[in-house]
Amino acid sequence: MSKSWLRLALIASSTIYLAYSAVALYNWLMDLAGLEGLTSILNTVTLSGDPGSFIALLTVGLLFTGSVYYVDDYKSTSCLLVGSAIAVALSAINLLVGVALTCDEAILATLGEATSISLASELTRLEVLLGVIGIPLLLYAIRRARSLTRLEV
Amino acid sequence: MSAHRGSQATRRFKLALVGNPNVGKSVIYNEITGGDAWVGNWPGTTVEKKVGRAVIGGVEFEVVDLPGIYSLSAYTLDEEVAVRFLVEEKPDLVVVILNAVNLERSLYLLLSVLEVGVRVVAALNMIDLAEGQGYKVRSDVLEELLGIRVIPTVAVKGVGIEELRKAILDTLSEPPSTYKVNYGVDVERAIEGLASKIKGYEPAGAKLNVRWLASRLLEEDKYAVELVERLNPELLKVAEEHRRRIEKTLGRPLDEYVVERRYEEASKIASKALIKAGVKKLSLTSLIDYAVTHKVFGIPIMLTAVYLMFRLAFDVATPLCTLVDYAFSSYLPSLISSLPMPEFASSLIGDGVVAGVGSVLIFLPNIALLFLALALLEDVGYLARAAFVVDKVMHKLKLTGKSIIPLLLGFGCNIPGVMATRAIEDEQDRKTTALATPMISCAARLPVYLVFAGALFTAYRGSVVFSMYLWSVIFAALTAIILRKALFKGVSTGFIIELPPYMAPQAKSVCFKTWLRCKRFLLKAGTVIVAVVVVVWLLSVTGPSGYLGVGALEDPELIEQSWIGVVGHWLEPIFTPMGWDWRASSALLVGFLAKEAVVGAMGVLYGVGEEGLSGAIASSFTPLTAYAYMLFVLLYVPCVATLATIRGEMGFKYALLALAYELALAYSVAALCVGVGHLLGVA
Repeated sequence: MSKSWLRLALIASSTIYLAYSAVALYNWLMDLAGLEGLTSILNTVTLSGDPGSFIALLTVGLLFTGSVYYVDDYKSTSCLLVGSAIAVALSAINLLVGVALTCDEAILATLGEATSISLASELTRLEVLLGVIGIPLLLYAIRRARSLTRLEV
Repeated sequence: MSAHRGSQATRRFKLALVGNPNVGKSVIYNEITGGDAWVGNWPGTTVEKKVGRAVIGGVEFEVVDLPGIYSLSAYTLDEEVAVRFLVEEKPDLVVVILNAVNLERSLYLLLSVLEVGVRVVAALNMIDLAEGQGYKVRSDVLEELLGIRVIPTVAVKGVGIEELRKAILDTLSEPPSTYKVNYGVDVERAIEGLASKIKGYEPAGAKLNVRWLASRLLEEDKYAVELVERLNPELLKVAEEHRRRIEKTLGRPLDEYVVERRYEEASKIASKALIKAGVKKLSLTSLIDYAVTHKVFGIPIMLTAVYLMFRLAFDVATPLCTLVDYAFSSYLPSLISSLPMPEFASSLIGDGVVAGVGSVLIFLPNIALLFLALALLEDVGYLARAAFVVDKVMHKLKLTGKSIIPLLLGFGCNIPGVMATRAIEDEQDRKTTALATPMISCAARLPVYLVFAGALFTAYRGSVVFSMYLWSVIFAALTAIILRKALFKGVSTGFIIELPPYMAPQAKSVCFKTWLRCKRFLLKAGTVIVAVVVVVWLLSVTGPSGYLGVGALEDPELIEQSWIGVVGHWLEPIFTPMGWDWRASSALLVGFLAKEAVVGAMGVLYGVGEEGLSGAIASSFTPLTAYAYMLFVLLYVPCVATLATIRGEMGFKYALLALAYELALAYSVAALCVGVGHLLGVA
């Protein structure tokens, strides 16, 4: 990945994460007020709306911003490594939650307490998609970290 | 040798484990004894000495895991515990665990132990990390220079443990160490002179290492002074004369000089044993730490880690909870009702034990996953960073940095948290921390949050539970500020924590820790909770008029005539401002014994077991009154066992203070929550 492409990808990612964190906060506040928030994009991608998601998304956004802001390779790589790791972890946790909730519905259906099984909305959350996009960034960060911490014999 | 082995078979030998903090002592202790000492990738995991038993090659050992220390100077309580043990208990053998990544500092401690004149085996631990940093440590060179066995180990992977066991056995039949650090002509002469005088007063059979004692006395070591004072106070005057004379010659304090000489010796040995295989400009730990401990990113990263931990624990566990729920709400009750037994016994087991214990056990999957996540964060080395990141904020809130570890332990259980305050030297800081720790939300409160959050905050239950943990930190800080301003005035001491290197978590260690914590929860569910729900059941089916019958559990009018109904109605007016009924008020009484029991008791009192508890709560509480109830459960008296620990650590007066303060705080906060909520128009 060339430097300019990386910068562009990071600027785009940080903007998306920061904007999405604002949406999560907005949705939470709307919900507290009993109003409808921005719950989905085109009825396919689900949007979060709780304070925990807001903090996690904001953290990733801040770290990606840090990786663009810092000129020093060491500082920039550190932010990118931790930020992309959290982005991927956030995606993985949502996937796990989605699978777990779907399994729960299946168990309830088996026990006769539910009539149908539907895929949990967690599986289509935006952070799941963003985390998948974050995988190349994480791989790049690991490669950079390896070269920075390489043992020179 | 054979004769010695013969005598070995008849007695139990004393073996001590000594090392710097976070060097892997507890891992080695567990490997040797097969014990269950807590192992954490952070300094200060061992707060007091632990004793276990091991059999090595048919020889029995009493193994003592001493707290992590940097020297034997008795400056801190931990060092005093260690030096007293080595001198007074006279272990047959000491295993000094060296950190291959920080060899010089470990060697300083090893030299101090060797000077005591005991048999020593060194375990050169973390050689894999040293190699990763471009260093090769020559254990053969160390053996030659120190005259002891040095065994390379990677304790977390079990590497070198068998060799260490063999070395322990072989060294047992050898004479104690005679290694001496050369302090120079003047000091050596003074040591010899003083040692010969001490020898004259040494009681028969005391077997004191007089050279060590003399050198420590010249350093004005607190413990050595205390020892010699017992022999003959006149010796202190002689030591003082020697010290003055030498300090005049050196032109500097003698203790400084002695420490410097010992460091020089350690440095000389380290330089001979270390071979630099390469240069590493930056370690992975430093690279990650830049972002993780950053002043802007640090706290959001910590909050994100906690959020991810809670999502894993609460949402991923859902299908497992459903299965446990099915077992306790459908399968077991139908099984019990099909058994031929009297109605009384059937109700006691079904409505009392199964319903009560089931309403607590349903949260086992959540708690197990929470413990798993906590063990992962601990083993990776993140918890020490979390302590570091929070320290700055805590210090501003008048809570000492050293309080962080007891407070973090408090998230598991408040009792070890209160006990861990022993490691805080400053008495004011210690008392403040001990009284603030019960504010931290322990695992026992979790079932209460989960049942309420599940009943009334379905969509945001993770966030609502998370908020309880945030409140617990805020109230711990506020408590510390209040105590600091009102009772324990003075300046807080600083905070020094050694950040351990990041390590890949070991599945064995993570699973072991998770199991240990779950076992404690299960034991409690099988003992205290069973006892509590049986008592609550009995108080529900009996009343001032006598036995009411098991029908009371399903008849709201009848249960009000029971003992629990009488007490509940007596308590009800106190909690009316918060909108809680008499059942909710009675359940709080039960929580004095154990917080988890609140849920079990509610199951019995609402006559629904865990099956319909969510529904019963949803119909008896509003989101606002439920949140106030959760806050009350967070803040009112942790449990009787924690109060007893506070009494043991600080005395009856402080236990009473904790009780009164926590009750008043919980009541005020819950009332305020409801009041403010009503003002804002929240139901």
